[in-house]
Amino acid sequence: MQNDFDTNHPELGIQILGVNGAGFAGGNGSITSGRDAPWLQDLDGNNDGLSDVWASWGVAYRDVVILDADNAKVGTFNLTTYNLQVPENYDTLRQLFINAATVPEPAGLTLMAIGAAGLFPFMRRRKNYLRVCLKGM
Amino acid sequence: MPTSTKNRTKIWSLTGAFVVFLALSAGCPVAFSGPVMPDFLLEDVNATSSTFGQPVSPRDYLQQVSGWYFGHAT
Repeated sequence: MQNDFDTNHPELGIQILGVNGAGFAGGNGSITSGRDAPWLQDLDGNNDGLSDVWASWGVAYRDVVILDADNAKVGTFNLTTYNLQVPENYDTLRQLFINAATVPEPAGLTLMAIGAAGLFPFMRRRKNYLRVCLKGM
Repeated sequence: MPTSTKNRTKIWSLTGAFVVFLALSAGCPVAFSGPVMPDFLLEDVNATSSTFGQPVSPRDYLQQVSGWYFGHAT
């Protein structure tokens, strides 16, 4: 998918990284073979049997967590539940990334702002008319 | 219909249209983000990655969208 973004949407600057669970470092050579995406090795610094970052982010095995440009979580997509070999799942995850990279702010708020800006001149023009109406009540 | 009643009807129509507009706007598809995720620093162990051997943080990817896959190297 990283190659897909790099080829088809380089302007979006989407970056995918992997975080390996603590205790699984033995397989790092094979999983990174032929891949150039960053592969980060998580640790169990407090010896509680949990991968520290996995625990602090509250993730499950094979979760993909999408962050926006402020490092805020946009969503989580589990690759065991939604196998990427299924084209619909691939397209769904791909679109989640693209949406996150192309929606700068809540569309509803933008529409409300545009709507309000458009109504103010109308309301000003109708000011005298409204005064007359209110007097008549 | 008396003039005052007509005027009231017009005002309520305008107000109603504006309320409906706000309601519809609020119902549009919105990409709300959740909480800012905790920071961390982990070493990149992929020898072919451009950041190999360096500590990597989510904060390195501010101003861009990033995806974090949590897996096991087996």
